[in-house]
Amino acid sequence: MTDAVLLKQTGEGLGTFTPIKDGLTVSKLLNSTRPKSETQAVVSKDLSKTYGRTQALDKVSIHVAPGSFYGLLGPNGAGKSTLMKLMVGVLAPSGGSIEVFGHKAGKGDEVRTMVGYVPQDVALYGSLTGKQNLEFFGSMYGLRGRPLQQSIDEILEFIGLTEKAGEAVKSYSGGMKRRLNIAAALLHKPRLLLLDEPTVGVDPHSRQRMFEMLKHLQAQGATIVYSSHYMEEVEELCDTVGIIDHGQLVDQDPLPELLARYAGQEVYLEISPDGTVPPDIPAWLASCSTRLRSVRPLGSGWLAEAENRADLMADILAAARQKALIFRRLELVKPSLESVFLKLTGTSLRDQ
Amino acid sequence: MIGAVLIKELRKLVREKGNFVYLLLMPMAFMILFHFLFAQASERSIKVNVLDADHSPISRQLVRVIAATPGFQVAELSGSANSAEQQVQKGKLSSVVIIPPGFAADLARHQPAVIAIKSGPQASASTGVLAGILQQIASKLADPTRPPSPVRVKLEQAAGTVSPSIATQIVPGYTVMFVFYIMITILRSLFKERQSGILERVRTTPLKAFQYMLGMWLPQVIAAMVQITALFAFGHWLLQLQLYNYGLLFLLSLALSLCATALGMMLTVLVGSENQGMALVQLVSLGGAALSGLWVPLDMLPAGMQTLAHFLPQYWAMQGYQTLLFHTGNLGTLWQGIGILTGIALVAILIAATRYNRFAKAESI
Repeated sequence: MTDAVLLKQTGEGLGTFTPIKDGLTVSKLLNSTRPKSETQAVVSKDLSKTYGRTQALDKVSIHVAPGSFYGLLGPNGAGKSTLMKLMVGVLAPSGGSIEVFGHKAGKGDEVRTMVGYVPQDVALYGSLTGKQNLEFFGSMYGLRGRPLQQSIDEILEFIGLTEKAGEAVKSYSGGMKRRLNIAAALLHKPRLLLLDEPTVGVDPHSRQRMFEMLKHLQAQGATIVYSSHYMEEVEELCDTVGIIDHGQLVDQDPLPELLARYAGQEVYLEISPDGTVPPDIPAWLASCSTRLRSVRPLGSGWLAEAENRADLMADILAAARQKALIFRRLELVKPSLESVFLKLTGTSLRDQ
Repeated sequence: MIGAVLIKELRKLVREKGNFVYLLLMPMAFMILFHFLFAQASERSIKVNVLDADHSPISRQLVRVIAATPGFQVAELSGSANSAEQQVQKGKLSSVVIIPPGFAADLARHQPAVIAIKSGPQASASTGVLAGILQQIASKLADPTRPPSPVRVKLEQAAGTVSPSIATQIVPGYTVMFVFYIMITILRSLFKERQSGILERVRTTPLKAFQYMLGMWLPQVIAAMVQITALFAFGHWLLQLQLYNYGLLFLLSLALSLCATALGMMLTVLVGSENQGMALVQLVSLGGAALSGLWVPLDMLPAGMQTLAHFLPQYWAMQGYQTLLFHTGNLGTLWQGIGILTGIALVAILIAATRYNRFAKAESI
């Protein structure tokens, strides 16, 4: 069986999981017992990191709630990877502080045993088998003997690589390697899972499988920090988003709040040449509605923003009837992270 | 945790087929090639160590004639015949021609006058050629009117040595040389771990730096020991190399393995890139081999190079192996070499340990 077994949570809280495909029962994959106090999973205060003269992070104060799926969104080179490495203690901060579940990152082994880190590249031994790789990484967290084997069996089942476990990793497909790459960080049942752009170079099918895995891990109670420069991924997976640009955390909040606060109320329109075409479309739009805030070209059409996109569309339609305009497209634009990012940073993430 | 790193590294070593090529197949091929070449080819220029203990006009004339003979290069020794023979026993000289005191007087009385060639374990087939030519030259010194000539050239094996063979030079020489090639394995393994992000990933786990270092180092020591064992076994079975004193052979091999691998660890964490490291490995392996008498007996090298050899680990390993192979070694004679090799290993691994963090962090930035 090479397909990932999809699991659904049964019962309340963080019980056992039943695979969707067949009758297998897989025990809990993560140490998801939440602390009695609502200790934040990750808290940083004025966290800074410099490499020589380069300021990679500049006074970043981040808060990741336990059990949340936190998306760290930003272009390449924004400081996402640096922030993750500071969380797990691989790098030491140049200024400020960072704590994971109340423990200072980089001091002692507490944080390392609570965190599973999935690097951006596939960091596995190609000449070893999948199982040998898992044995190695499990041993790094002090697992041995029966607990280690049990954990490996569960994880292999979870990622759907049980039958491939005895084969060298170099023979795996890209998607399988990516799943194993994540699995290697789950063996010790971490409370916090850090994933640094785990889908770079992954085909859509494998990506979707990984998303299923991650959603189930969160459902089991894991706190996940997921860095990406793909807005669609962050929108699909994350409940909380931090936007990072040029080493600064521009804003962070639950996704709906960010969208409500920053995403524009926009209407997209393209006017057909079959009808009347106003010579100056921005001026015409301005004359349509007093609610109009801004107009900008987008693709073959125009993007108009107002306080309320439905009211704006009504105004545009009323004005169009009078002028006998024919629309090729006239759409309400769904609030997106793209517009949030644009508003907060002044640049489009897609352009970077 | 160290055990997990060690097992992983051993598995990788076994599965990387390229390791077998340059750690085992290449030295074996070299041994066969050079064994064949040296066994077949006559030496074009033979270095002749001469001790003239007679200091007579005739003995001086004899030395001059040998020196003027094409293909011979004379190096005159001072001191006693005993000290010269001891140098041969210790492997410092491959052979020595001893003109005894009273040689001229015996010749004048037409009494048997014996010139001894003390042959050491490093002496090659050329010693026999030397004996034949010397007999011809020396015979002409006697009164031609009273044949036969009283001059006798006696080829003797130096006391306490075993029969010399080409294998006693080639097998330890190429073994020591190629043991240092383990540095390539170490260099590649550590750089690959760093470049692939595995080292960074390992650093996110509770594994301590020293545990990782030991886990990466010890499998290479084991690999070097296996390599030495395989190459000596190859020399024993295919090139008729006689082996003695397995206990000391093990100790010396362990010291050599520790030394070569620790130098590999040190070099890896000090260099800026894998390519830079590869170039330095070649310099250390080939340069050390050339200067330490791994390819030809040390006494064939210029005096300056012989002195320089004392600063190289390959020299101490080679001297130790030859002492054992010539059956003249014991712990008393070997402790210096074993101690120097172990000392170099300790210093190198300490330097590697102090520079490890810098090496490991380079990729995280």
